[in-house]
Amino acid sequence: MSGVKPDPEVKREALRELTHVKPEDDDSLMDSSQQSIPDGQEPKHEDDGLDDLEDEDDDEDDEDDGEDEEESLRVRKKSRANRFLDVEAEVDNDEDEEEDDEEVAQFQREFVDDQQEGVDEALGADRLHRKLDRTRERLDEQDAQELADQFKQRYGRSASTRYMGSTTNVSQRLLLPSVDDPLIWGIRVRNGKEKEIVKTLYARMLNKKGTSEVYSIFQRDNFIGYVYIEARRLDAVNRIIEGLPGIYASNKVLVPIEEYPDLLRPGKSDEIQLQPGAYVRVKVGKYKGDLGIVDNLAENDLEARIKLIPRLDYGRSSTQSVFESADGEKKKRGPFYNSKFRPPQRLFSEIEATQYDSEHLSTAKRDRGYYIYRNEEYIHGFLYKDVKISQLETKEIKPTLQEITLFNSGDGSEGIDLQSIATSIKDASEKAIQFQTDDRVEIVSGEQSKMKGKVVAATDAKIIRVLLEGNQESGVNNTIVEVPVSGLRKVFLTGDHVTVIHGVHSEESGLIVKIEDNQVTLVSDQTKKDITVFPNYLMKSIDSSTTSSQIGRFELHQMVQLNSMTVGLIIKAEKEVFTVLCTDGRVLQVEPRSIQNVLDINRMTEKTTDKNGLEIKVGDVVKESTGERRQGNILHIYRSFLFLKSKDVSENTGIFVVSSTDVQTISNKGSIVSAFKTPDLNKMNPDRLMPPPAAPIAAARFSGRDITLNQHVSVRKGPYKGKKGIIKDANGEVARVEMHNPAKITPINKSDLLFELRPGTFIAYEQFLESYRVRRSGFGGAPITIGGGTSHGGYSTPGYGGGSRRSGSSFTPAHGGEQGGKTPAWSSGGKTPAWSSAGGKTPGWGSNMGNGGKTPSWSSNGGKTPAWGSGGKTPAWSSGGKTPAWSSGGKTPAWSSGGKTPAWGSSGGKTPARGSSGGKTPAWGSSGGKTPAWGSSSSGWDTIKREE
Amino acid sequence: MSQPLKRGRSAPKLNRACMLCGLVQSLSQFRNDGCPNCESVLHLGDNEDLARECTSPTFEGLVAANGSESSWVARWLRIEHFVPGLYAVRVVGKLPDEIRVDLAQQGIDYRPRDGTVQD
Repeated sequence: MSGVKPDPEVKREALRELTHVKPEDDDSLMDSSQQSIPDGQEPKHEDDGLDDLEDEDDDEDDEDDGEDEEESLRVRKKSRANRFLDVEAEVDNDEDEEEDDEEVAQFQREFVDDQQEGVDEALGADRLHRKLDRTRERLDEQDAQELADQFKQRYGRSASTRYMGSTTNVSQRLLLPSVDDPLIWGIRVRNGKEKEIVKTLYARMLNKKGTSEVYSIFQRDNFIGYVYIEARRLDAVNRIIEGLPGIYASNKVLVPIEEYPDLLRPGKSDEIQLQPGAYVRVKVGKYKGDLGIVDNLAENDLEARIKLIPRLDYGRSSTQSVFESADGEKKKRGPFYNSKFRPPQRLFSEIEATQYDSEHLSTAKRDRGYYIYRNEEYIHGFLYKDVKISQLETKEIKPTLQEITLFNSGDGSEGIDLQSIATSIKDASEKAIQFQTDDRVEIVSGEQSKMKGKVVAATDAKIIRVLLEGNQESGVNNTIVEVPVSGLRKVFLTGDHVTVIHGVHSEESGLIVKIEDNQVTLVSDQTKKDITVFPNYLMKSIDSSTTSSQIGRFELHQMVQLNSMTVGLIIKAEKEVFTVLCTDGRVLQVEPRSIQNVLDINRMTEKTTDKNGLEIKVGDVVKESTGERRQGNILHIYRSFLFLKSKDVSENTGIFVVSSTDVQTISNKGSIVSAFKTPDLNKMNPDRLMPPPAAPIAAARFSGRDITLNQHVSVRKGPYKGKKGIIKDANGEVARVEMHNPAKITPINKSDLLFELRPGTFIAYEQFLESYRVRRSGFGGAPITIGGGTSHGGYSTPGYGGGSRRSGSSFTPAHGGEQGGKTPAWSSGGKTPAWSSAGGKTPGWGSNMGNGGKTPSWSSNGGKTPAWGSGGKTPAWSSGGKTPAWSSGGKTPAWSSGGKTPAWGSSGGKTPARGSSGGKTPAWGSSGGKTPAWGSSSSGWDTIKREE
Repeated sequence: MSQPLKRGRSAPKLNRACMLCGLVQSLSQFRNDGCPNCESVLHLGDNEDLARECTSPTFEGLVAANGSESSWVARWLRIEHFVPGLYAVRVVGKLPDEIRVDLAQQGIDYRPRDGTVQD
């Protein structure tokens, strides 16, 4: 550079060449250079390839490569022209080799001359020999490079105009493809080979003839198995891919022009930008899968310092592993950990570190809890580690409560950064975001971004129709656009009452207090704390309940199992902690994870009996018979424990637990026992499952043709009450009756029919059976007095209530429903079937009781036995359901002994009062007044009172 | 010949992308020669630290561009004035602050290629 001072303009020009930057807006240059490329560069790339194959993975070698490449190129170029041109080629850019711009060429020549003079002077060499002197040539080269560097330094700023990122200030909207643009074909390639194929095709693009019409080739990781080629004509595409393995050339798709931008979208717009405080998971190494919190980010966004819970064993196992690997390497740094074998997560303990591994511990700032242990930093027990972001899982991180608790267990009282949670789980599922009609929204991406509007329809889960309104540009108002969910943001106003519909805070509601760009802060109604969430996770709500009823899989007032022994009722459901009232009366605060499972109690079986033996079920009101005499509604029944809710009790939100034996019923929920809803306890008790008295037995006994066939009947119950007809068909208890009017066949229960014994005389089904039996057995003697038949109507489901417990016997449970009182209610205190009453006297009850004189063997012991059914004076017993409650213990009622038998259940008021007209209590059990008096009431037999 | 399937020009390790222009090449190439497009403004050559800071090992979407201005793909990616080469659609990472300031001073509008800029 001595002597001549080059003109700055010249230098700039030269510099441009040196720095391999194409001149701006020089199309002719471009074209010519393009054409020149294939010829000029083909050999270069071949060389290159060989070089690369030799030393593929070595950076240092790569470096050499570069030099070799350059050198060979230059050598080649020099060898084919005279010196001046040579030099010119040296400094020239490859592309501009066949430069025809006169001015530029002139400048270059001048510059070369300038330079040459300097070089000449410096080297002082003979012109004629220089052509052969490669060493000097190289020196020359280096000088040129130095020169360029100097230029760069001196004129760096002006040279920067050479940077060609020119369209950066043009909105991408203006770059949208048009029909004039080249076409893009998607080519199916072997999965996983996409990048390799792009590289191969790139080489071809530069080398192969006839491929200049291929403008670009690209691949996206999201579009597996495809490589896209941009070209004007298909034959260019075919030419460039021909004969290349891994390409399924027959499988070409022309990409629609409107989808071009999607192919090259830089990334999903909802992609999370990692922020300090965000949750991540480590993907590799010892901490694989562990939750971390981003503490800080490296400037280039490639590394993050994250906070982890250490997994340390303080060198305890490392000694062992060193011992094991004694034969092998000495450089053993420590035990090998992976995600399967590693110490548990525990905060760093200085004590342990000093105790077991003090040599590796160095304390920097002990007072601030800062330690360096094995070259890693520990602050307040946590490990702070720099990790490459590529080694972190940043999306859809859902920290478990346990992990968060671990993080909170440190003495740093930062608490949970709610915002970070919201950030981390942002796109955990976009699906959960719901837009509803009339939601105010703002469009955040796409052409209409920043526009505001109102949702008019959300027909598709992903596409929302938005009516634009309230925008500055009035032209767009009142138009309806369709926007994908991801491009919408809900708009709220401070003061709106909202419910969180997604995320960690879901189900919480509160009042918005602050709205920032894409974050909404609200005060939770439940926790009274600020929570910050994305607006899209909110929904306007009018409900302002202060207790969330459902958290996770648990609900308020749900029975849960805490362990095999403990069962309780959730009486308070807060975030992350439940208050459970156990059966033993303790109140526990438990985390959701320590709840084993929800006790799935079938409401049908949630029944028990109170101290009086009366059935109680959920919803009934009971009262403690001892103690505080609290009264409450039954919420749940677990075995003999009742969970009651009372309005008068304040503790535990009014819920308390009592034993069922300590309560008595105040009122039942619903007075009518629904036959199908509530199972019959009696039926569940095998002890009580007696052979049903009459009809079924009878039915079982008669075989062959159904006796009811072709009988004239009259319906006594149900919608057809009073109608007459003929039984056309019968199946079990159901008869198909052909009505006289209307003329049709209807299935009706036989017990709902009255059978016409002879014209004008109807008897009930039971009696009909009875009479039939009597007739059949040839015992025609005592035909049943029809008048004394039973009256059914009134008490098909009698509910015996009441019985006192004093005698320890004879409380009569409710008769089962649907059979209409056919179920007998023998019960000596409900424990044993009464019907082995006076010890050891097994009754042979099973005998055909219709058989007049054949006293059922049920009576053995003289006087104690009821002589029932003897002597043809069959009591009406067989007419199902009218079974009395025989009380046991020697007080056998001599029922049916002669005329004493109360004709109970007989119709028409002849009979004692059971069931019908109040007050006339028949004392139907003889022995000594212990007979129950069947008090009657309107609903049937509610109570049994002992006279005594 | 560790990768016998490769034929012809097998690319050097394409493991870094320039954060400014998106060009993909090996770190050693960046270190030795700088970025062919951005060298005039970034001066990556012979400055390994700078080369590491201004290039990213995390990128996605490989585009082979022949430098033609008629290419819509190149225009869309704003690489139409750059040298032919392999480019990344998305480059994770951002230039360090001081470089950005420097670029701004030079009148260059830095547009991160990490997908955060929407327009």
